[in-house]
Amino acid sequence: MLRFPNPGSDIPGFIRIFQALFESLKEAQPFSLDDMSRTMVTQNLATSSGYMGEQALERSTRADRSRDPLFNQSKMYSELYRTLGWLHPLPHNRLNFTFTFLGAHVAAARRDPDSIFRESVLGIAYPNSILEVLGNHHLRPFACILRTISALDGILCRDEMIVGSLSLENDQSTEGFNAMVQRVRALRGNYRRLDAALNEVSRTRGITLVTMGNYTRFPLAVLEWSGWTIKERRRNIYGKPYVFHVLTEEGRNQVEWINSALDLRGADLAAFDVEISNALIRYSFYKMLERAGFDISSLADELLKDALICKPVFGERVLPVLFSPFQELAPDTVQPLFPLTYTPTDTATQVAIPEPVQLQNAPNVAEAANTQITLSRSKVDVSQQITVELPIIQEIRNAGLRFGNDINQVTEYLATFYQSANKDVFYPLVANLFCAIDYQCEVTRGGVNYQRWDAFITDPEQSIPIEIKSPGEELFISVKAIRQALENKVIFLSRRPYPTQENTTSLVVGFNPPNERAAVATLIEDIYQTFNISVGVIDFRSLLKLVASSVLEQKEHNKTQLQTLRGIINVSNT
Amino acid sequence: MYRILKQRERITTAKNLRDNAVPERIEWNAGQSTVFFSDGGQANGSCIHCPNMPCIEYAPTELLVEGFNDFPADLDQRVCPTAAITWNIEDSAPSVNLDECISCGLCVARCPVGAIQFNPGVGAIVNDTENAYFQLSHDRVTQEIVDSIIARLANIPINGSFALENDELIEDVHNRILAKLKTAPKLPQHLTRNLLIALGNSAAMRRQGDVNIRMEIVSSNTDSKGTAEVEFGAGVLDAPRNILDNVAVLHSRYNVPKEEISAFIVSLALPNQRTEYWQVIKDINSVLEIKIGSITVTALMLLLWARQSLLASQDAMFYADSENRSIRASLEASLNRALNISLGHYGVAESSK
Repeated sequence: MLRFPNPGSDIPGFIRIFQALFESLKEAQPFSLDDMSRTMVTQNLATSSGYMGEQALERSTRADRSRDPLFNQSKMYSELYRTLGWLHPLPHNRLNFTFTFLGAHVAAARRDPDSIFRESVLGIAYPNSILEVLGNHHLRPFACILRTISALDGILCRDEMIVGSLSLENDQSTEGFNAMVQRVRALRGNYRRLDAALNEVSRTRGITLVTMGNYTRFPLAVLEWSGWTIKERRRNIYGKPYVFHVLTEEGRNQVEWINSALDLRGADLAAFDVEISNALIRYSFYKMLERAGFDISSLADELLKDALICKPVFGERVLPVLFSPFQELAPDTVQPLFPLTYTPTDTATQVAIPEPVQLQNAPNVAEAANTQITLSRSKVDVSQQITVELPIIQEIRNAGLRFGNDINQVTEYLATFYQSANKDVFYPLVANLFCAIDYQCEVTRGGVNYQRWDAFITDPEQSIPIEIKSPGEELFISVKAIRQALENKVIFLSRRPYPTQENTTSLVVGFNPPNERAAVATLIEDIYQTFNISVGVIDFRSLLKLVASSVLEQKEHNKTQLQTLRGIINVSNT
Repeated sequence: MYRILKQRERITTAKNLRDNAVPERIEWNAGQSTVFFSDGGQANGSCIHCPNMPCIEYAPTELLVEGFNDFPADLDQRVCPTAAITWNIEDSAPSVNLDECISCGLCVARCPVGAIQFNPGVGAIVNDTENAYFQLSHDRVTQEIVDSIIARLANIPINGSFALENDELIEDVHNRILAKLKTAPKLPQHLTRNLLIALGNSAAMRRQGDVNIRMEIVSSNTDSKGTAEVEFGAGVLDAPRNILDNVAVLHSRYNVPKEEISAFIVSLALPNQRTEYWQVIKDINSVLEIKIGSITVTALMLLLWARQSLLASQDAMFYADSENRSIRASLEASLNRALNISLGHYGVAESSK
């Protein structure tokens, strides 16, 4: 199956980014992915790690580039810009780039950038000399998708696109194309047939269903944004609702044009001598620009000459040509035909090239204070003092017997046991764990709207609201939970359902610590600095560790530390 | 060597304001503008074919927000959040696709000569018909010609409203917005941004897909810096806590004093009376002394129709809570008259339920 990266659905933004990159980097070619990142950030076209501007760049940069979000974003954009023929990689360094003549025109298309984008999309064809694409595809994908929709009564759903157009091996084979259409048509009427076909593609290609769906996001966004299709939910095709992409009048006109055009592929040029080949390249490129709203009248004489040279190809009638040379041919083939030159007056206002930022590892994230919960030997066995029967205590004891009271193993064993717990199990479990270390903790009764917290600890002075996220709701604690904890505390202070103090924490308990640790820690600090409210985050394993240490090692934790917790918990021994 | 080609330019005939015509005032009535002249004559505003197309797009500088230079703004220059108004290269004037128009009035407000009519229940219509005062010339239009016409109309009194709100108009606009939400996912933010700009603020909306910055809208004016959450659905119940996140970021990381931050929630309809939303707004004010405003997008529109301004600030932005779940009084204070819509109608000024 043909894959596309996904730059998001904001196609005008995607084009704007390219135009900004061009303005900044056209005098600094060849440029790298880091140059792209720096430009995007300093021109406010990208953010990272919850920060804007230079701080975004500092916080994104990692020695391990695969974990550098801005680097990866630039990499993804560069792949798409190459696919569209707007950038070419250097022959021996494919992560350094130059702008193409086509790209320069995209940058110049200030009045109407959309048309040249559409033409570039139609110009995508595989295989080509610009990208290395896996799979044995001989395909002009967008033209193929549009023709497929037209052939299938003007409608196509995403899954049909996957098993049909994007899995076709050769769209220039009439027989192959028709067979694909018939295959898809035969699936209609029974969604199980479609599911089976989809699973077969997944199995054969070794791609998960979710990933296959992700690969279609860009083409589907383009179809709709270009006005070629609209989305409609239809039940009558498969017996259950599917979102179909329905060809519009504009889409039908586009298909008609595609069918009337000479669909030229890069490999086809090998059949012609150099003179005809070069004429075809020039002619098709400038006609593409003309379709994109560019004034090519100054080239009328040259194009007439080229059309005459191409007569052996066209025949008696000059045909429209669907071929985008910068998207298929090797740079050293096409660039000599269009040596790029521009003067500052030809393009929009020049933007100063930003000074290079010293790339270094991101500074350590400043985590909030008061995250430490220390354990110390207790004079009494706390768990023996818990008068209420708590199954979790027995579970811990049993695990202790099994693992020789190794706290880490006990913790890990129980965490694995509860890793799929839903709310109904997880919320009472969390409450019981707090009870097991001598807190009066309850789960909020369902249907009590004004009690917006999931659980609460009552105390004569330091009652604590608790926001709980079960693994079913959220595997990793996120900023969403922090926001909810803040709101919980505000309501606690306002309505005073239980005695509390301003410096008492508001807790978040979730299964795993935050995936985006920096974003969560920074928000907790922002909240404290602004509102003087402490939000504490306890992951399930840390809570288990507190309880297991109490039950199995008779260790107690510092209650004051927990009651004033601010930040992401760190349990340690004294 | 090859030069980069230019896109074909629109070639449009200029329309002149008659040389000896001295405009005295502009009156808006029943969705149409009429220019009154010192010679006793009058004429409807007629499109003067502005090359910079202010009815269709903002200039890039209009989308800058002071103090938020680093904000990842979506620089979508379109005035119309549904792209209903366009200007094909072959046409002499812009035109409005009435199937896409949501009757917000943004393009109407942008036209410097009042050439776009506001037709309740129909939509916006561009008047390109020449008349005794706005006359086609033989010249190709230039920005200089257009600027000179605008200068002659500047500083004259403008009276009346683009439209007077009523129940039927509100229902129509509400339904048009709902219909467009399915196909224009960023419509709520885009519409809000543009209405804030039209009402006298600078405003920016976050780029789609940017997951690193959580603030949806930032705004600025001479009095304050603002942050807004835009929720047209059930997510409005989460909006108060999201706003607090925004305020915390603005204060802690960008050093904006809390008292200078205006925070407000823009919804399609005010939340139902029985939801916790109103009590949470009150709790936030009680504990944190932050007044989060609640305003509907239709309320912003009817201020625009009435040609009012609304500078976002902590005091201005329509504070309502569990003790008073209505923004009617705030709206009427801004309009300086009674609101001409029924109580609870589509949740514009108070909860519908």
